[in-house]
Amino acid sequence: MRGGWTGKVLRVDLSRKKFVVQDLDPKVAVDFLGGRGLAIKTLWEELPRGIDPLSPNNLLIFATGPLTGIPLPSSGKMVIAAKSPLTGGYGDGNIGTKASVQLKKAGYDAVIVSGRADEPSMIVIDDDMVEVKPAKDLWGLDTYKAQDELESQYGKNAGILVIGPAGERLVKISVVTSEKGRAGGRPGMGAVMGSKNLKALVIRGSKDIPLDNPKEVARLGGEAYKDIKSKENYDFWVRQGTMFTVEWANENSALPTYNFSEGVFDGFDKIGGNAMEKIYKVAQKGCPNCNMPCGNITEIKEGPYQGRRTEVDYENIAMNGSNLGIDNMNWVMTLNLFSDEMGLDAISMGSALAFATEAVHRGILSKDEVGVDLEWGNAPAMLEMARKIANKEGFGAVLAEGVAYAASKLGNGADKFAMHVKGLETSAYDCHAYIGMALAYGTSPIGAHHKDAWFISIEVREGRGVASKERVEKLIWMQNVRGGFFESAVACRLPWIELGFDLEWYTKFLKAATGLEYTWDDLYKISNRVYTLIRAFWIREKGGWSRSLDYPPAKWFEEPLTKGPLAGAKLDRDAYDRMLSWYYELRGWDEKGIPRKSTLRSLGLEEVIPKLESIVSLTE
Amino acid sequence: MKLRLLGKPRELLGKKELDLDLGRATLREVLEALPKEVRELVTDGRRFKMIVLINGVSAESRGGLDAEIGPDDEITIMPEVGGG
Repeated sequence: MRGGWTGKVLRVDLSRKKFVVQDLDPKVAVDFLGGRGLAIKTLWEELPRGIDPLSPNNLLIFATGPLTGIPLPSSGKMVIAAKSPLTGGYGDGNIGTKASVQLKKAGYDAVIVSGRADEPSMIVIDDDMVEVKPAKDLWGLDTYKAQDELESQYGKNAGILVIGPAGERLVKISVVTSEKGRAGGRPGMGAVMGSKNLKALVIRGSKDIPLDNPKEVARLGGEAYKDIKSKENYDFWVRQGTMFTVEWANENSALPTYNFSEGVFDGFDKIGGNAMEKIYKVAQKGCPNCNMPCGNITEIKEGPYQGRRTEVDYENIAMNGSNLGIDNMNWVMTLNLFSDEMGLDAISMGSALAFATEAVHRGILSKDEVGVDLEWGNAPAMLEMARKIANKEGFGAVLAEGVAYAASKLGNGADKFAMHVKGLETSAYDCHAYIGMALAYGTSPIGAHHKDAWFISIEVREGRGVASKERVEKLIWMQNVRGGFFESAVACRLPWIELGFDLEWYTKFLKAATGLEYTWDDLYKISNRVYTLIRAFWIREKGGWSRSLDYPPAKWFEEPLTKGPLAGAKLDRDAYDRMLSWYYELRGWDEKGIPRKSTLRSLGLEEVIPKLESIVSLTE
Repeated sequence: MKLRLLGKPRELLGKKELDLDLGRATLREVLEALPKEVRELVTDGRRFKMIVLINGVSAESRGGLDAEIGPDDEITIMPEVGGG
């Protein structure tokens, strides 16, 4: 390896408090890049089938890629992956953090954590020095206090990854956080870390990241940063970031409202980008190596967290604003800050609160049972319920397992309004009118998250309600670029998707960093390999597969929108089913969604065939 | 006809909506009536650089810049967003 990758993987066994540094197999690096690709390759090969995700057997992987950490745009990300306790399948998430850069500078492409520490612990990586240290004093601290404590010990430039009380208590909708408000790993990666008694990772690196052509990297970086700044929407983006999407989604009837019952919300402008920028925003924050920072730091002006600051973005605000019927931005920010401090996933927390509120409204759940006056718009009650989730108290303990579990516990048709796919709560886009986005959720390899494909813009621009094979082709292309390339390279997709930064830059970046001449066809094939291997992992862990697992929530098919310009819109099952069949066909999977043998062979995944064949029958 | 704007075009124009009295016109002619800095955000003269809807329906599917606009039509202009 000539550069990009460090060529080393750090393995830490918490049970034995031992670590070992291994070479990264060059073929794995070339064929899977890193990040998500490296994670699924590792989990497929090393994880025993059927393990409890919260047992010491699970592997928790922190993986960078060949673009991570080098001085090129938005390269400050890493992927956190494991078998998910929330879904029982493959789980991952990316996070923008100094820890990504520090890990590469310490000389590692990834850290793979196994076992379980016998007491609350943290892993401290200082270049070649690796220690598992006691963290009893940190256990129980919220993520902000833990961050402060670790920064005071290890310095402000240290890369710090930490879980909150939710992760410690094995709340399945918990995440890993960094730098007060950055979060990653929606499918319960916080709980996996908690199950290992691992409170934090602290990473400091002082080495140069190897590069094939450092001068070319510097030249490209200079040009690329300039190009990003010259984009027409640059200044607007930096001022509002993803928060403009509140207005945009409301305009297009896609703003999740009352547990995804509606796509428009009367108070949208009170919680949107304009209000945020003019009334609440006090500072800007970005990831390392980024010149288009999207972090909006806002100040809460009233309520229990008055005077506190929080980092807001669209997903969190929509899920804890319109989706709960709350139009008071101070309270929405309060819920956001609470979730960040506890290490709860703000998206799933909003979904769980909305699910419980709808259950109360439908008479399936009583307010006495939840112990809180759950009503749409009753923000203090929502905060109290969120506390119960974080503390696993009363009905909060049920919601802490995710809405799929809560629905199965409640019965009485609650599954009809539990908004999730494969157990992961739906992120913040209502799909009554967007069949392409519904398919994106249905086929996302971690459950209902928008990271892999975000299709609504295409559907608005080119026409809604189109269920064509061409649209499915576009969707797969989008998944392969967003969820395949960017999650494996590992770099942030936002320069491309938000400002129109040309994708052709990235093959040049890879060439300069690694010396390898990837074409987009090569990268597309890597993405296909990653998606198909993730699918194989799901099949292995579920013991089979059914098309129903690739379906979006029933509500979007059965209960149309009643408000806004698209009132009456709902998804069509036959049309969705046709698109799903095309999706399988284009991915080289059979009618049940199981990869074909010929596909596995063409992607260099021959070794997967016998393992899968022992579980399901494979078609040629 | 009515124009509704979101995001940066709205900021540049300084208002959410605009009523235009152009009788029947093509979409190209309607956009010509906008200030240059707004128009150039929306189109390069050949294709759209933003999402343009006519009565909530994609302008691309109605003939693009050559789409016919009547006095009662509503045109919505919004930036593309990437969905984070």
